[in-house]
Amino acid sequence: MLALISKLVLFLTLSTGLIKFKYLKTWHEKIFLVYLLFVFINEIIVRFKLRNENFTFYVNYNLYDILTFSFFIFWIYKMVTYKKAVLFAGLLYFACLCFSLYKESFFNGFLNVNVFTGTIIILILVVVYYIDLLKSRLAINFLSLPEFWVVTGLLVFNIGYLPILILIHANIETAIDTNMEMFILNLLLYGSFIKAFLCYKPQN
Amino acid sequence: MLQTTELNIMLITSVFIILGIIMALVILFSVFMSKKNTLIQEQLETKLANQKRQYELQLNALRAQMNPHFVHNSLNAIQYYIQLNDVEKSEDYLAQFSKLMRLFFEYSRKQHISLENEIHSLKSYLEIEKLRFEDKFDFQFQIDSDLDTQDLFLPPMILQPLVENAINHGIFHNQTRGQLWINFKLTEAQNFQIEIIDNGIGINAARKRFKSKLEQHTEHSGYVLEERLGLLKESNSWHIDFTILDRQETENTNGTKVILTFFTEKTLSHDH
Repeated sequence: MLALISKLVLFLTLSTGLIKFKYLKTWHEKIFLVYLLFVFINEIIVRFKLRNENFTFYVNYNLYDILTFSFFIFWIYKMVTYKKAVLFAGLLYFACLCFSLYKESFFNGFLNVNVFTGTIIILILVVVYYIDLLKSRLAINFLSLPEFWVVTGLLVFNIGYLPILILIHANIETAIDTNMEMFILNLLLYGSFIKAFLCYKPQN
Repeated sequence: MLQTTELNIMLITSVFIILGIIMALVILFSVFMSKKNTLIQEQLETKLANQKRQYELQLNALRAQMNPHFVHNSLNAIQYYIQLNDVEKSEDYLAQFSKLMRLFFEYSRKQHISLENEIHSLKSYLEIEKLRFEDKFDFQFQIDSDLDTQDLFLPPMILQPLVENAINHGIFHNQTRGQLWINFKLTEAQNFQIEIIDNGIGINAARKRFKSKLEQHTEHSGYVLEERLGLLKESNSWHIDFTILDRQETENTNGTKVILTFFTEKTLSHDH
């Protein structure tokens, strides 16, 4: 039930983006919508494939994680003036991804190193974005900046996701059900994205 | 037992996540709101400083209009007619002079004046200047018939310093009879252009000839005017392009041509 609602919210986010498409002017605004479309399609594929008992969704989710981290690193790189810092973070992520692919199985398990480092790097880049924004005069209208809301969504999601990751991988002899937490974090993330799309208004 | 442990862990994690998110958001929005307030404060301070500078420049322009030389020479010229016992002429000039002084003060208080009023005050000013320079020059106003001089506006005290420069530093040093043309043209929609053309020695020659003097006066008044135009543009109230040309370079004849182009996005409906 929670998964279904989560997908509905994702669909609502994508729809809002499509409705506002005519107001998206720059390349990085449009590519964000393409990314959401990819996320949505990936979720649908996983949902249909899950009916098949032999299917494992590791490939989908590993691919999803790699693309998501890479996309947001690139997206923030395009956005900020501290290009070198983001580039360094990008290279660091790439190194960790290579390590993860070498040490862990892409087809039969989650790329945990990739997810951990990706989450931490995104959190650092979020701070980089905020520092960059605070130094620009755009900060005067920060509430009407779509990028601010997207990045805030990333901040909220990753702050919540990091303890869950730690908990899942901690040496606890109990099965942890984090569905409710993940559901709330997804709601907050997509809520921020919707708010970001709503910032696009016709220019007078 | 296992279930209780699991519940406890989940509860602690959830509380930890919620607190983390709330704390992050509180810090984030506090920092950004504080930055926003600082920027607004800075913006207001800049606006106030610009306004103050604008008033200072306006006052400078008024001082330039009320140039002691101009007042002294004008009164001397009137005195000359009194001494000649030409009562009618001296009365005429005295009335014109007092009217001009009144206009200077009246317009200096306004944000903008109509083209009609500007033309009227310039004519009065030029009549006095003619008297002062013993009729050594002529002036001519050419106004486009399409130009609605009552409904088009410009900031006060913009043209007079330029006309004064044309006479004092251009025409005055010329051997031949001076000629001054002031043209008002409608360019497009509500935009218009004003040209102040003289047949004086030209801006380049004037700069060379009176280098030290010009640096103190003409350069300064030109700078003041440009700064005023810049501040007016910054305050979003006016957009005026200012060009000064030596006619020797462009038309192969003596003189200086000053072009002011007024871009009026918003039509100002009345004098403040």
